[in-house]
Amino acid sequence: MKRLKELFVARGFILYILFFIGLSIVPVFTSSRYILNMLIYFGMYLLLSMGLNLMIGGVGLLALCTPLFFGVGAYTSAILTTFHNFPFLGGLLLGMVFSAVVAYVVGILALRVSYHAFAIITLAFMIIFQLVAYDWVSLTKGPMGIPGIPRPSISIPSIGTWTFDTPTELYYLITVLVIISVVVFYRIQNSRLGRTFISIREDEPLAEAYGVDSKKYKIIAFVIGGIFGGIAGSYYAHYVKFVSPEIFSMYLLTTLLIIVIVGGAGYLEGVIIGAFLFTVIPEALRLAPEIRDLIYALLLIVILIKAPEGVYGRYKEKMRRLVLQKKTKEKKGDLHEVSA
Amino acid sequence: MKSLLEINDVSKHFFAIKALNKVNLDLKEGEILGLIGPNGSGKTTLFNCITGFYMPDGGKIYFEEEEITGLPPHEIALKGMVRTFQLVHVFRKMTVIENMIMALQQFQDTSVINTLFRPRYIEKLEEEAIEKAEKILDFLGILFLKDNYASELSYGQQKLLEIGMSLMPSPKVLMLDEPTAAVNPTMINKITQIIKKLNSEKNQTFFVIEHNIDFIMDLCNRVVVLDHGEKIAEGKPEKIKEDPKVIEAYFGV
Amino acid sequence: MNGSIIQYLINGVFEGSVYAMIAVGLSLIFGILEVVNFAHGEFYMLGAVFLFVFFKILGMPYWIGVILSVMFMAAFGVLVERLTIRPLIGKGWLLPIIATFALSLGLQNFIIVTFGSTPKPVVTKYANNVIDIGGIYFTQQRLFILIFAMTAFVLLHIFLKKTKTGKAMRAISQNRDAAQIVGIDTNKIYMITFAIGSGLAGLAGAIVGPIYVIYPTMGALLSLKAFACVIMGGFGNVKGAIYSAYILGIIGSLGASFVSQTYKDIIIFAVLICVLLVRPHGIFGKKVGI
Repeated sequence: MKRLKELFVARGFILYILFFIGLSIVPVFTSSRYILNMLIYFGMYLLLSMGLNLMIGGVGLLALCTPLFFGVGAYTSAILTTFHNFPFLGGLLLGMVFSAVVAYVVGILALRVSYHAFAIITLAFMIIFQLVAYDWVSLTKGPMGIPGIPRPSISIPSIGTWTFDTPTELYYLITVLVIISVVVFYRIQNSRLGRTFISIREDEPLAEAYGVDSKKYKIIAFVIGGIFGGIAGSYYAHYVKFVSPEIFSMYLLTTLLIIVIVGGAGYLEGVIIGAFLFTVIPEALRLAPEIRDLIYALLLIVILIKAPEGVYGRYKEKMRRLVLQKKTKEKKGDLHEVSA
Repeated sequence: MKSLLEINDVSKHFFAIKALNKVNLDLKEGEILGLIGPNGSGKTTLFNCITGFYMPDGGKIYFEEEEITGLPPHEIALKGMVRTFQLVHVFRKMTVIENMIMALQQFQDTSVINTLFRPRYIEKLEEEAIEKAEKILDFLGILFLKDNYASELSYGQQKLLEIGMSLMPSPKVLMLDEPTAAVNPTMINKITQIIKKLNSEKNQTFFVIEHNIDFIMDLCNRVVVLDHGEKIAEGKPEKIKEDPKVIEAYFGV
Repeated sequence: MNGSIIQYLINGVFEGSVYAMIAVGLSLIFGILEVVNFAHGEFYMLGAVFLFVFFKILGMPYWIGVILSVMFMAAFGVLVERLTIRPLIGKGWLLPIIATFALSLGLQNFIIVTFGSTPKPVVTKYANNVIDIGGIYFTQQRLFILIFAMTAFVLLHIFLKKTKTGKAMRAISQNRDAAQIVGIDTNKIYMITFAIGSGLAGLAGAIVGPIYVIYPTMGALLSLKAFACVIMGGFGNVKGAIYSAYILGIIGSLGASFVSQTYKDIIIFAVLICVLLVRPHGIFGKKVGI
């Protein structure tokens, strides 16, 4: 037990604990619909961008179809709970399953091509699903969308039913999902699996030369991202109570990209920072969507040119350099010893 | 001596260019085999075919009597064949010790389930890997760099790291692609000593591509010469040095 | 019924010409700079916007408008290359793609903000002149697309084969490092490549604009289809991209006639995916060169 604590605290997990506590006590201080709504969107963006980060910052692939998983999760929950009386958890679970299946299929197909074409193919799949959503009216109700999605409720027989109706209750629901997801992604990032992902991103042939089946791990990263995208989508359907083909949106994609890149690709901390920045700030500025997206585009380009490692990446670089400076000062004497 | 690697009539072409034309060779356990030839003769192409990075267009490759032709690189690596690359390749954004662990990681366990759900088991594997890594780094003289990022190392130090990584999985065959390229003479000497030591003490089998003739003469038991994708000579280094065909290939006389 | 099929075929050829004009620029840019230009569809859109400005707002004659649009688009392409692409060229493959993706959305939104998102018609007399050849109908404007596309491809072919710059471009697409060693000014070539690519896309926009209406997202779906052509043709293979463009144009048109209009786009992407399943490097293979 003590060793466990040692492990986590040493790895900076304490910051995460504080983060979780912070998230959990927000409703104690406010029941403002506005703030809770903003934080709920923060939660959804976080779920989506952690998955995207696993692709871009993890295995180093540009996947442009996260909104696809979002939409699949949302439609699955919407269709099942609204038309077939599925319970919320059932819809959520099947949303995850379908997103995983879609991710797997898209992944298998898209990974057959070069990484340039991969980006295009994933985008193409998103468009295809959007077109199908518009067209398959009997399943998705077409461009009119699916209204009247019920609020999430969990029933345990002979105990009772919880319905998440008020903003506070909905907020707690997403907070639970966020905490679980962040723990999962944290675990992945700091495990051998995370290291394997980075090895693929850094130098794929080298990784292969040391036994890494890069295709398998790329699919794993993709499916994980897909699952959490699906969870976010499921929640969204119940929160907004309406789903339409507009959900497969390019604008969502830009926001996610900017979160990952500006926050710091490859770092969970960076994604959390990015998600927070790009839910809170645009809300505070109250910009028209076109202007907001225009600014995002410009910002993204500038950051790519000036600081592609993102906010958190910059911070990590600085820390590294400081530690290195300290080490060089200490070792100035014996550096000549074994220089190659 | 057992034949570890058998290459039968392997050919590889890129569009119209025949990079390899029915090359035959075998590698015996415990030997240091050199592969030389002028630029463009197909040495690295042969390495790539053997290790799965290229798919041969003809011929078969056997490792320990098992056919491995056309298998993907990671499977061939896991069978015990480790290779290095021409320009030094290490994981630049990882620390030296992480690089070393990464080199052994997949050989210990490839199961994703285990990685995520059995922390204590993995912890044990990590400790084993760190222990082995530190021994090797010490042997190579770069243990003091273990927490530095690979990108912070000098070229020569990175080359040593690369060699260290290749030793981690205790490979049955170690394939080095131009280990002395762009390296200063002191380091070349060091690398030569390392290879000699590993070969004599641990019976480590080496297959080395090289341009540095002195290095080859000093080190190899046997040498194979390629020219324009074909094997033109094979034998002991002293004999190869005098072989007129080899001289012509290199100097076009 | 027979006449109908030929009609759809002809339509497909016209469609393919548009795809091809965009795909060629994409293929060149990828072959020479190794950059996937997500904003290429927006170059097409901007060509149409420029035409709108010159022809409709400033009242210039149509063909003057077209020429100016192409020139302005070429210049714009150079600007994009200088400011956005050049700084990112050495830094791996990921950054430039994200940058062009951002550029694509930025340009769309910029036009929405400045011109509004309501579609604007640009009517020329050619768009209303219908030619009738034995029951097959098409407007003069559509014919221009075909003529301009073919002319452009022939000129490009000659340019690449015969001129010094063209040869330099082919050299870079085959081996960038070797080209630099031989003394080719890669920066200048990058600029020219972008100028040609965006000029072609702008030309397409200026000619196609009058057929439909002009709106900020008119390039989005089109660029994806152009990408399909480039991938199918083999990344960096310009001839392959052109052939694929016509193939997809015809298949799409036939698909629209036999299945449904909405499914036309799905069919095109489905074809792409099927091709990739069988031949991941595209029908015509990897960089066979320009």
